[in-house]
Amino acid sequence: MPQTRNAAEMLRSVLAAVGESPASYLEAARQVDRWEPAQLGFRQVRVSFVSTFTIEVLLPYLAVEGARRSLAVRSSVAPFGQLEQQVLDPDSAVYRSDPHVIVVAARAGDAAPALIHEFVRLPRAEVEREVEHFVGRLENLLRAVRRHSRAQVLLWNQTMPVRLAAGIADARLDLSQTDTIANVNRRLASVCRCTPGAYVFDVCRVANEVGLARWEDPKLLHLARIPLSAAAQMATAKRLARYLNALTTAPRKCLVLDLDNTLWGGVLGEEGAAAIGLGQDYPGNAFKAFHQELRSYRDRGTLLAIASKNDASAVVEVFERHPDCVLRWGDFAATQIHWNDKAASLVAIAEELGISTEGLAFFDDSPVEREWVRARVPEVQVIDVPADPTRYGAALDESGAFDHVVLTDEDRKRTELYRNDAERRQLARSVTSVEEFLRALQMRVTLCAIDSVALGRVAQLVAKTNQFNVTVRRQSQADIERIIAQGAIAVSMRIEDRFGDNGLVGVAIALEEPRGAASIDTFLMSCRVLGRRAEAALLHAVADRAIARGATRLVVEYVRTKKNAVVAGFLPASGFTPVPDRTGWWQLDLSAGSPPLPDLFEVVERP
Amino acid sequence: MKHDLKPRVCRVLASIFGVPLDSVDTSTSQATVEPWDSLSHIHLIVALEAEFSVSFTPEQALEMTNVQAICDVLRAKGAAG
Repeated sequence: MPQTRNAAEMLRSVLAAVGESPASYLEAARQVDRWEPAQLGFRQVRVSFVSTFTIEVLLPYLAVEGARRSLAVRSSVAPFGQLEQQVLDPDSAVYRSDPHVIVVAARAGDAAPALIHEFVRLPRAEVEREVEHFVGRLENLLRAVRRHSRAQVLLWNQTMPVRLAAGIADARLDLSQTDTIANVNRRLASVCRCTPGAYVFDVCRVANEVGLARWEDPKLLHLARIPLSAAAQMATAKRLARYLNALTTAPRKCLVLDLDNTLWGGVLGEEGAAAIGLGQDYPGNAFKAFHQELRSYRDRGTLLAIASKNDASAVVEVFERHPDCVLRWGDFAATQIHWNDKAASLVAIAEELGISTEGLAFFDDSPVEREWVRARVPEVQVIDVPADPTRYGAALDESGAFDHVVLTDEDRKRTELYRNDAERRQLARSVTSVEEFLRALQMRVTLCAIDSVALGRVAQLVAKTNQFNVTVRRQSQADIERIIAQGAIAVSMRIEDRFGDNGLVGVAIALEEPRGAASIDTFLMSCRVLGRRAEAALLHAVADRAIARGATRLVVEYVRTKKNAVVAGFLPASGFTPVPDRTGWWQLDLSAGSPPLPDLFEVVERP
Repeated sequence: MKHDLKPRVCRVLASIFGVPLDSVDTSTSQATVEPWDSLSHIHLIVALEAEFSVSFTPEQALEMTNVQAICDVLRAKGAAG
């Protein structure tokens, strides 16, 4: 659609010109509003706000920051101060817009003023009671939101008071105000952990970044009930847009890095391993610090890869032997080191990892390479790299490319999982048939119900799985939890093999229907285990459970997308036949029992 | 101050309220600009502070409801055009 490209192109140049000034934000917000999301190819995100203050002031900033992330943010704001009235009433304006995200922003200064203004007077027990009351009130609100809406919830935590009630003596108090607010925040985080689909919006952190001295503008607070200065409004909207993006868009999976002047100073081929900038002093220490930050990305599940025009053996030498090289060769899940074009390298990396190019972000100091990649593989997120290497870490962070609202155990183990994959590929090369390879893997497939511990990972798979996903229903964690609570058949699948644990990699959910049918709501498998025939075990498990409940057939709608063609062969191969007169629907006759299990792995059934 | 503040003030108003620049002049006031409500007044105040690198008192913020008054306050603050 040329129109889409033109509109998006025009808007992009408007957005690029927005400076850190309120006037330019307001001007750009109007430009954003002129377009329909579809004209721009943006994802629409409906957001409902409930707050104890005039949160409307953020909206133009949020519209702009959302647009920078290809989100069309449509906001509605409940009248301030009416937390319970709005949230407890299922017919209130908060729910009417069918929001994707509900933002609950209650300041202690408004909702628990004693903690802020009377702190010195309150005995310890009273402080604890106030905290209990305030947290309990918000917990109650979140429960009501969960009852009335499937939206994801962002709960603001508390910023530190700009001035402490006890002044400079606070830090020496037996129970300080600072500790008390921190305790409120710990409690709010725990409330969110226990509420499906609820996340802390860490505004406390935003205030620390901006600085408490610049956080409030007393004039705005007293004239308009706005507890945020202009600088705070901009920073908060920016962070909120990152959260909205993380809540509604699959994060990138792999960070593809250049080497010369990106992971070390200078050009390896010209200067040699001993002379590159990587070490204790500037500029080498700036690159070393970037390595350290990248290692944290790896630890939280971001795959690292290299796309570099270099001599491969010299590069390996640096990663294996350089004393100040923090990242090691084994930290990279894929490497493309040669003199060919980088756009092709990115495609090759995605292929090697079994992910789509949309899962990639690209970090390269060369503006020429960045432009080249942007033009050739526009779906890759190209990060704007500053000239100054001491700012690389900040640029990567601010890109939001790897923002996750939660971190699962699978995330923490991801690089290891993909490295095990490399060993599996090695094995695949040494055997002659697929069956032989699969047997040699010594897989153990564990099938069990989806419990509350597994729910986070299940929701993540439902949100992210593109290839082996039959119904492609992107349900929220809250939706999934509700369906399961209502008695759906719900199966999770884990796969271990001789190279390690692949983790939770398959999900199937089916609903009982009248006339002996069970209808598959979700049937998916992580791309990590495609080609292992494990889908047969997952189908077998669902069929068994459906039969146990008296079903005689299993029905499913195959929702065809650009990426899930792999499913097309699976259904007929497993015995499904098209349902007459119902386009896209398939059925499996269960009257003769479940489909057979291949004799390629051990299957363990757990309740 | 020799320089005229007015063109810059008018530009800020046009950006904040989304009205054509040539429709903004000395006679422009809260009464003549429809989108100039209490919330966009807040946006205007912080936008003017950023534009002229000044900080207003609450009283000044309340007074600045027309172009003339805005220019007067800015002049009193020593802002240049």
